Amino acid sequence: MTYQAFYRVYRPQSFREMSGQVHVKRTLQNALLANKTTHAYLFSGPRGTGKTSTAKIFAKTLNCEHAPTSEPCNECATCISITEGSHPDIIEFDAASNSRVEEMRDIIEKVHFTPANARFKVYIIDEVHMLSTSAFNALLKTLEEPPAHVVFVLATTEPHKLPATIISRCQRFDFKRLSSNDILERMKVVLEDIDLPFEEQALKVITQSAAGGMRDALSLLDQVVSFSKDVLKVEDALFVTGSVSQDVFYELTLAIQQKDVAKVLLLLEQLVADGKEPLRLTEDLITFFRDLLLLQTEGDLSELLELVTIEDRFIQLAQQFSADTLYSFIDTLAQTQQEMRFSHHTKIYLETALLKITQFTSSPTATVGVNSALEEKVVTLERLVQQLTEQLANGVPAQQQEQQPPRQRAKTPNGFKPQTGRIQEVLKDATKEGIQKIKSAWAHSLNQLQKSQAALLAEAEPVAASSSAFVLKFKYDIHCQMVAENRSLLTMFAQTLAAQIGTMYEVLCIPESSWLELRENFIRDNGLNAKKSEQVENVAEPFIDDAQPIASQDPLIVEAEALFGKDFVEVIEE
Amino acid sequence: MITKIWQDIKKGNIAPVYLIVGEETYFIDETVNRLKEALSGQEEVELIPFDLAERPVDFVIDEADTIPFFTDKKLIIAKNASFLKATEKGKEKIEHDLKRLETWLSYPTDTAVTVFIAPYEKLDERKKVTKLMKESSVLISAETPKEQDLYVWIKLEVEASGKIIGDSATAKLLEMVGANMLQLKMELEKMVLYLGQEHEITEELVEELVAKTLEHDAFKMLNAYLGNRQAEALTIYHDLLRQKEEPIMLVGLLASNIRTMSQAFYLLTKGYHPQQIAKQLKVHPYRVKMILEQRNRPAAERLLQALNALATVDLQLKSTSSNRARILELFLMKPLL
Repeated sequence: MTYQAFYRVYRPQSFREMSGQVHVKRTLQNALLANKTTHAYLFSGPRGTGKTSTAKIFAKTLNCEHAPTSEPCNECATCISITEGSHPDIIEFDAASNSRVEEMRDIIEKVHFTPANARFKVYIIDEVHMLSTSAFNALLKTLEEPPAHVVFVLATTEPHKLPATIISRCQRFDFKRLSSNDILERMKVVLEDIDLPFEEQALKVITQSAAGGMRDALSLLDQVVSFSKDVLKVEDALFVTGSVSQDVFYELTLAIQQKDVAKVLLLLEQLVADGKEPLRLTEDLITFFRDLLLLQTEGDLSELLELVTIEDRFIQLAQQFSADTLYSFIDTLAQTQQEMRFSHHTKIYLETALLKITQFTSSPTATVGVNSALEEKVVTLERLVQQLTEQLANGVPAQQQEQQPPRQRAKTPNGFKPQTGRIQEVLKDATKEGIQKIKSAWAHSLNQLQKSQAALLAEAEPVAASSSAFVLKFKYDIHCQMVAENRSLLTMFAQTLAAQIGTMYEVLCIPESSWLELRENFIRDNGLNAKKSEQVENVAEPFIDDAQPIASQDPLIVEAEALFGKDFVEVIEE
Repeated sequence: MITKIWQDIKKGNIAPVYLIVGEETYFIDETVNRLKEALSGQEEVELIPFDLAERPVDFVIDEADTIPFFTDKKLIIAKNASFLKATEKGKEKIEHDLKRLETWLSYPTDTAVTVFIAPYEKLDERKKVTKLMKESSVLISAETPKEQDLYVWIKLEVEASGKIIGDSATAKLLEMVGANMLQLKMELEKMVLYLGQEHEITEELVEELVAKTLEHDAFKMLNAYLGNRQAEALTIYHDLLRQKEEPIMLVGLLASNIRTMSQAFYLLTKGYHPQQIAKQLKVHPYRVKMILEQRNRPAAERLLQALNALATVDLQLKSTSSNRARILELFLMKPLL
């Protein structure tokens, strides 16, 4: 005979053999005895808790030749053929691989035929949540009006995926997770049966990683048994389950607590040398710290512990850390885990994280303080470097730079703020020749820029120029801001211009809205009024392009200009 | 009302046409069962079911007009009589010959008992066929009863099977199952079977045996968390995880519960009545009742704080690739300050 896995050999064949699920068993047995079974049952619960086993035992008991009874005899022809899975009236249907309507219809068609040689036809539909919507509807039709000789047993791990209409037609049983004790007892039965001595602790390790599923536990036990020779040892169990012994973590955590960096690294080195994956180790460490947190929580949560068993030393260890410290450990590790995914040198990340953890002081705020101080320093340095490069690039005296530190502009909450002071200075020295020179070179310079950059400047217009700087007016605030903050663009543009006209200009940006206001103020302050101006032409007169319309102080004219645009308004004086 | 009609049925006072309107499946099933019982003599009555979503009403009329073969009368069940309610455009697949039905309704045959089932909340009263149907048939309304009535009904049902149930156990059962008579009946049957020789359905038994719903569990988990009972919250959380619930979905559920809570409390301070709150928030009155009945009501800031923390968890869940179940777990583990 071929080898059969434990969980198949030791599948319970009667209610008596079944572990746990006391309530389900008792209800079903009473129903069987009193002949009060309904036509549809729904068994839901996590995997390995006995849903399919119960369904089979139920089918057997229902059809046993000694019925009504509360236990199958496992001796009569019916019982035996059901155990073998060859009984024609017990239809096992795996919904996971037969989820389509056609397959559902296939079996439902035969529902109305009376059973061949049993009392009831029992349909065991496993993984019923996998059925398609139309398959559910087909099933529902039958559940609503079932023939008297049919019993449906639906089993699922995910009851919330079933339509409510199906659920409300079934008598529903929730299968609970098996307790560690149930699993432990069952494993002992198995081991005694195959006559293999064992260490109790080894079974505990298996139980813990099975997390309440009997099938998981038995498969693991199967592996461990085939791995070990004369006696079932803890090491074998640890090896097969792939979990690192809690002792190592205990030592590691103790070393962290004592700030023994060398030992922490040594232990890690050892673990990695043993072939443990750093990524998995990180996960395990998180779990370990989480278990310590659990130990701190009041109330009995021993069932939820994943790595740690309840022992005094762990409880003591848990008490030595504050909850906040443990949380910060977990945070650091979680972050490291994230980073590790993009790197091949995962071990280094884990080392760094452990070092960080070891250096955690009791108050995490201190570390944050250091970080922010460092950050600030970096920012100041960066700023300094930027300033220096700019100065080198366009040769503007350092003094002027200091007058308008770039950060100040960038940080203004209401978007861009032009350098009014500088612009006014430029306006004072503005000359017509200057602006004309720039305008002549303007189009050509634009062409030399990259397309994206030229686009930014397309709506811009030089409006005033002194010997060392010129004012650039932007139609939209956003363009202005983008250009003004883009130092490299400005420097490059200035250089392109310089290549053509021979003078290195400083570029001052201003949005149109601010420009109009600024210009008006400037003209008023300086008494620059075209009408009244008696100044001689050849004396350097401050020249501002498109300044002429401002001459009109008459509100009527201003209004007219606002309506039609300056170009169309011609003022005729009488 | 329904009990009177049932009594009439039992006495053999059976009308040729019945119309059952309402969503409570229990009443529908029970009425059909009673009719079946009353009509069955020695032989079981001939029962012919139709689904009016698949067959036109002509089939029903033809069947009713045919004389039964073996029994005196036959029972015809016509489900999903959607032509009685307001028409939804594009959804009507079957053409029903309503003219013929109208004439037939005035002269139904006495060799058949026809039951039309309209499992809808409301019928379109303006329709001619609806009016006629109501006039010429015995109308049974299968509406879900009020909570108080359910309470009484549960006790009666339990007593009918020779057991007793206490007030707190009844309340617990209603809380866990909700107002669904079919399901309540199922759970009661199950518990009665469990008891066997014993007599009382206790609160513990209800807790142990009744299938838990996700909403109920999530609500309990949230309350445990808000009440700083971490151990309880974590246990429920792990139960839910084992049912393969998605942590992201649970976060959503928790958040929506917190929102409803804080809104309900706010409206309560504004002097709203629980019924009005339910209407305003568009949630089931029962949920509002559950929320307002809590003994230690969490403060408004506390709720908002938890909501805020949940938003962070949500972001983490969606941006981390590591163990997602753990993130929400850590949140539940951390006591709310």
